[in-house]
Amino acid sequence: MSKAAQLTGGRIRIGFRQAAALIGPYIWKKVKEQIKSIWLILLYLVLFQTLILRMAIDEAAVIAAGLGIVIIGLAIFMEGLLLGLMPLGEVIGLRLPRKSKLPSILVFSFILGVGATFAEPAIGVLKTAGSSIQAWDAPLLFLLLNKQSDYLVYAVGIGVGFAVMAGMLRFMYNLSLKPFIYVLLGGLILFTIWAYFDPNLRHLTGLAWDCGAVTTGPVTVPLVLALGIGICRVVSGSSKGGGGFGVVTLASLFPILAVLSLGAALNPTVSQPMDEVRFYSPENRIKTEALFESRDAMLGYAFINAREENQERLFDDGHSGMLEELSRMALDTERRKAVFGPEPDALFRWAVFKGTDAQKLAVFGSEDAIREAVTRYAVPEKKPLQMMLLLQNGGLIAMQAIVPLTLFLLAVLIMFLREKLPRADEILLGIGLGIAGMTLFSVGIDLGLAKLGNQVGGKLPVLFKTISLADQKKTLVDFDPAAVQTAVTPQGEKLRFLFLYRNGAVQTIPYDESGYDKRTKSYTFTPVRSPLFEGWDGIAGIAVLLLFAFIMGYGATLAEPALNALAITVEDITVGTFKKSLLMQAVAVGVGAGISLGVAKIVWGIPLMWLLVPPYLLLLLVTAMSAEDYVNIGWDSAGVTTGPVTVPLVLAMGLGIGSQVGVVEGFGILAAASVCPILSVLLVGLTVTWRRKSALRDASEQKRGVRL
Amino acid sequence: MISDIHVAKITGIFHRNITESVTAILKKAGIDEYHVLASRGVKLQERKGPLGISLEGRIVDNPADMVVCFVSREHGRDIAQLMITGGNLDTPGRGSVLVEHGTIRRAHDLCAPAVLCSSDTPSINDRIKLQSELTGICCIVQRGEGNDVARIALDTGTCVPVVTFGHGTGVRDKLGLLRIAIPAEKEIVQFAASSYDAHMVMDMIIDEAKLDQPGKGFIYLFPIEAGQIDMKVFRGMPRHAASVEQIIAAVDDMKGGSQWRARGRTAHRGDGTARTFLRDLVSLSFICDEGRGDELVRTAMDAGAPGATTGRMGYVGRERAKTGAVSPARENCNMIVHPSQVDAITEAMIKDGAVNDRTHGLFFVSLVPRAYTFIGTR
Repeated sequence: MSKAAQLTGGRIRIGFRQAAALIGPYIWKKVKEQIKSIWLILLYLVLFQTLILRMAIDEAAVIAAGLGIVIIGLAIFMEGLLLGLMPLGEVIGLRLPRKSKLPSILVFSFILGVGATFAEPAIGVLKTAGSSIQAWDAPLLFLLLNKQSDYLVYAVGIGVGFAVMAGMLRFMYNLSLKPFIYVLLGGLILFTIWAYFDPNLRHLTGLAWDCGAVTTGPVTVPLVLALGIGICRVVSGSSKGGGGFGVVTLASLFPILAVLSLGAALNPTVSQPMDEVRFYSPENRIKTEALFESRDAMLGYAFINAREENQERLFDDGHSGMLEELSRMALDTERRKAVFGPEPDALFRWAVFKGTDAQKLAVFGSEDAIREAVTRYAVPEKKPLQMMLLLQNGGLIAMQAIVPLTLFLLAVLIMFLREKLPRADEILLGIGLGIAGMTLFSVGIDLGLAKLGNQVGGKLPVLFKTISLADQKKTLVDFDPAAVQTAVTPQGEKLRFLFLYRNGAVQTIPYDESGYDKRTKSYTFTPVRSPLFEGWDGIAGIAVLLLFAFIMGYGATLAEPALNALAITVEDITVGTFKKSLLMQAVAVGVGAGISLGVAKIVWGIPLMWLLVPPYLLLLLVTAMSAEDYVNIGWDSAGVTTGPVTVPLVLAMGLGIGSQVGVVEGFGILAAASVCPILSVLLVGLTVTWRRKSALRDASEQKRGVRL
Repeated sequence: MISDIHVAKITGIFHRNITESVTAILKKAGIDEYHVLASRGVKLQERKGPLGISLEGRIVDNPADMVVCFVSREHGRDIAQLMITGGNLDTPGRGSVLVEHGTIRRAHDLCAPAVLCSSDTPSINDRIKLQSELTGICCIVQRGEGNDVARIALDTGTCVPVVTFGHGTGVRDKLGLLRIAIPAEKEIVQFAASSYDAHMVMDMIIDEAKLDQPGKGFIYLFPIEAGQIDMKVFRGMPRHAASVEQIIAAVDDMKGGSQWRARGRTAHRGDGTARTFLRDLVSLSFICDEGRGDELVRTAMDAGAPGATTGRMGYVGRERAKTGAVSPARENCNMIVHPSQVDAITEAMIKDGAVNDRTHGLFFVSLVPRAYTFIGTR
């Protein structure tokens, strides 16, 4: 090679056009990869809404823009992971065990675990999932998701801290992952079964298992993975260590234990589930109030969620006391905010949509005022899109997720380990890209994916039952009862209906007397849609629903950045024998199946225990049969699946179905979605191992060599 | 610092399940220091299409390990015999062992070649005849293209190739941050061919992988002293009373060598023009603790090296690894240079700390009689 002209030393100057010729294809390649992983879920959602549900997509332009931003954001984020965050984690993993003693390593791990939880709070996600819970149906759950949500975060944080510590210990002492799994899982299953018998704790188990599923986010997982891989390389004799995998598994199991323990500890102080009436009765007042931030918050909650007779019981003078209070609030902004929340018009909106006649009068004062309010608030206000605000929020979230962790790691590397950062320019660029990418895809998900998911998810139950489209509740003003017509059925019954002219066409809607308000001369109705699939007593519709859930889970998983990072790492470590595409497909199919199961749980009201205990028991069996490598990879894949792409979609779907079917809480889908991918990956592992072993055995049957 | 020792480099390549039995037998003979590279073995699986027509074989991968140890030259064959016995490598389909000769130019004191404890362990006496007349082929291509190269070795029935990962350093690293736009990930495909076939196979690979185009890759031959090569390229049950490998071995034995099966050599391209090969170079392998490779390769490049391909290795040693001396995580930086450059490059790297306690470096030099890559129009 010396004969060829070589440039030695110094930098090569590259002209702008040449640089562009290099960067252009590079960026395009990354974006193309991202499009490949996300096109399925996007196309699927759009087609489902337009072709099967046959409803136009609301705010289609915004959603389309949002989806485009998601693609670019994910591409940038992935590059940031591979270029910056993961190399940083690996460098620290390589240097840490050789330069510090075990206690400092454990302390470092604990801080990392706790920090990672606070950096990527998935608790917001769980709050959304829990928003449909009524305080009296599941008081402990309600408490932990609202007033004491901090405790929840702390519990999860401590759980993850211990998990990372245990993970590092595993690597240092070269322990197999299997005993950890048996002990932890066995304990959790027993705990769950025990909790099933307490009404409060029973509702908490769904939250606890879902906490485990959501903890490890798209920043933590690659970081912890790279750290583990680095450590395993320098700790000698690490054939059992699992090659660096396994920490994510522990970080998914420990928090469940922590949350269940927290629940068990708090349970004695919280009231048991009861019906609404007893909840608001005077003898339970103290315990009830304890569930809310303040008495005012309790009032606000009661107004929005409880029936009128129970609202009255909160006031000393009963009915009149309540009406007096309402009138006072209509004039006093401070009181209004204390009870109904920071939005100034919240009281009035509530009165229009949920208030009884007496309450409306108390708030507005006169019939005319009521009529005016109805007109004003009848049409839901469309909030203008504030791009700058969204970007700001997204940026804040991204920085909170990435910056503290990386600063911590850099501090440990440079000040504690006293090492130089290799390839510093690449790593810093990578961190920057990670922040930018995360900002973009957070915004994109809010604008595009979540909105689309909500629309589709909310309408899903129409597949198998009649749904009322509550968000399209209409109020017709200046209504003349004379417009009502009468139709006759073949059986001689009389059905009343009226013609509605909307969007250039005339439609018929059934007329219901109770929707007519004589005083305000308005008629309020909620459109309904009859089920799309009526075959087999509605089972056909549910079957389509489960199929939808499967494909959605499958498609969303393929787009997850953390799973991508994991699969790339696995292919790297195994030198190409476990291909990225194989792992991604196995996990995606598993998640699809899991989400189907979760949806079945909601539709048919199967208790969560049946959904978790049998699959996990089966899993324990398959784990015992599998090789260490596959056990580590398989269990880690589960921790990776529920991320920023899957969770909003799954939650929207869960809430949508849950609200129509009428369940207490919609937890459990995420937990179910975490069990099945482990099973699918382990099964793939078993098949591959068996094939290889039999090939090796075939080879041993023949001898070739000539012996001297 | 150790200087100028003539050594034999023994490379054993086998399925990961076999590694333990091989290392156990090495340990019993007193060899408890060696390097392990994670790799993948590539084979073909027969496929039958509709109507029972044989289709092109499908490539199957399995996890493999390359175990490399350096010993004094006179013990080279003995160690190879140990490996073969320990892993039953004389059975086709299990793996290969190669013995190469070279020199350790310089090395840290802790990196001395291993010493065989007793040369009359029973396994060595149970000698298996090693093949000679072998030439090794090493081809470095971009990530994702390794299996295409491996397929040529498989389709010609040459040998079961082994693939490892690495990354390349070269012109790319002089571009500053812009270098992230150029992928550096490489796949290194290695296998052994009969010396009579080596040139032909090399030509086929150059044609197939388009190595005559810029940036596509690099290929070179290296001499093998002796070895036991796995030629069972197909996975699966034997189809006849004797397998092809058994027949070939028997005829080799009868004919006293493998010249009878030489398949001819072509040094001409398809269009009739001759290829220009690079001749009489050397391979300078620098093995060091992880993290030091890239810096020291840059020093080497400043001293005249064209670039390097760096791969990861695991080091298994005695208690040394535990006290934090030689790191279990090592890197192997392989440079192909002109023999006259070796001294200059080595000195420059040593000045930069290549054999200090942070690096525990080892410089191994061996011959490269023939190499090929795109070197620009003349």
